Amino acid sequence: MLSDLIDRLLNRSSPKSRNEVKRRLQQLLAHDRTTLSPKELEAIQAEILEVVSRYVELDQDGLEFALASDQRLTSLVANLPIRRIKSDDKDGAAKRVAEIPQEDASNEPVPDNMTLDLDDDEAEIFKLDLDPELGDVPASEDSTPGNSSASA
Amino acid sequence: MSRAIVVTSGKGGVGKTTTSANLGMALARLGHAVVVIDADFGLRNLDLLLGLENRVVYTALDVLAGQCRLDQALVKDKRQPKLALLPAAQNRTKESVNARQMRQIVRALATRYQYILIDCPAGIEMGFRNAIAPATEALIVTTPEISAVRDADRVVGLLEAHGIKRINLIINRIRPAMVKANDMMSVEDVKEILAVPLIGIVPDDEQVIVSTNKGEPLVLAKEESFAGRSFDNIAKRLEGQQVKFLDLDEMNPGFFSKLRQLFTGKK
Repeated sequence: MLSDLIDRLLNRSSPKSRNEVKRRLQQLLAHDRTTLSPKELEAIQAEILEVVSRYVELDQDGLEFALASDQRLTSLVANLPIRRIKSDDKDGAAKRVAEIPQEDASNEPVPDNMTLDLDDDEAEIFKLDLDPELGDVPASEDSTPGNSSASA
Repeated sequence: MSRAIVVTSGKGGVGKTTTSANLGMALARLGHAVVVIDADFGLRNLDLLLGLENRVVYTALDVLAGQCRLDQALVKDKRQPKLALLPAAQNRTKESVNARQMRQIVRALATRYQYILIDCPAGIEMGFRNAIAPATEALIVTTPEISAVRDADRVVGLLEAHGIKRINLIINRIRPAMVKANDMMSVEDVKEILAVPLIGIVPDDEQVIVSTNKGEPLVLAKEESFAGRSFDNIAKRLEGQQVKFLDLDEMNPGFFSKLRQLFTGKK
C-alpha cells in the first residue's frame, strides 16, 4: 500500500510520457499510411524546391518537409522559409513575382508561404533580414539535390 | 445469418487469443451457436485458453486432408454446449493451408453456427492472409503501447484493402492509474489515433493470467473480474446491444482487489 503510494508520487513527478508517445505515433503513422516511398518523397521535395527557388531564395537551413496524418488521411506539410524575393529579371521570374497579389501596402514584397500549419515561430522566420554577405552569394538554381531525373 | 469475425492485431502478445476465447464463451452464454477457429497453425493456443487441449483429436488440417469429417474435428465445450472449437494443427506450418481452404471451412461452419470467430496468428504474412480471407468483419485488438498501435494501424489498412469494412477496436490492458498519471495513452488517445470505432475496453487484470492457468475463460469465473465483465460487454455490443463502457476511474489498483472481494459470492 505504502509502496504503491510512493510509486505513484514518483510517477507524478517524472516527465509525462503520454504526450511523447502520442506525438511519436502520429508522426510514425503518417509515414506508415502513405504509400509514397522515401525516394518518391525525396523527388517531390526536390521538385517543389526547384520550382519555388525560381522565384525566391529560400533559407536552406529552415526547410521542413513532413507528412501529417489525421483521421486516416495523410497530408504533406512543407515549410519553406523565404530569405528574399529574387529581383534579377532575366527569365521573367521577377515579372511573375510582381503578379503575386500583395496584401501588404509596403513596398517590400510579402514573402510567400508554403506552410499549411502556421505557428508563431514562422512569423519570426520571415522577419529574418538578408545578411549582406549572403546576399552576394548566387542563388543555387540548378543544384537542387537528387533531381537529375526530375528536371523539366 | 452467420457472422465470420476475425480477431487480429498485427503484433503478438496483445491478447488476440484471450479475446477469442472469452468472446466465444460470452457469445455462447448469450445463447448463440458459436465456433472459434484457431487459425494459428503451428503455434496453436486457443485450445489451452479454453481448457480443451486434452480433447483435441483431429484438427482443421485433418478435415482438409479428408481424414475426418468436420464435426469430428470440432471440440464441443462441456461447460457450454453452444461453444465449439476447431483446433489448428500444432505440428505443421502456416503454409500448410491456403485462403481457399479457410473459406471452404468457414462456409461449411456457417450452416450451423451464428458466430464464427477466427483467432488470427500474429504478423501480416500467409497465416494472417488465410485467417482474414473468410472474414466479413474484424476485431482489432491492441494495447496502449506504441508498437501495438502501430501494428494495429497497419492491419486496419490491410483489412480495408481486403474489403473488410466492419472493423471494431478493442483496447486491451489499459492501466487506469498510469493513464491518470499521464504515463499511458488513454482510450481516447488510441481511438483518435487509429480512427476505428471502439467496441471494448479491457483493463489490465491479473485474473486473466489466473484464468489462463486454469484453462477457464474469465467470463465463466464465479468471481466477477473487470476483464471478464469487459468481454461480456463486448459480446453484447457485438449483438447490437447498447452497453455503457466501464468506468476506468473506479479501477485503480488499490480499489481493484477490494472491489473484487466485494463481488465475491455476489452475482
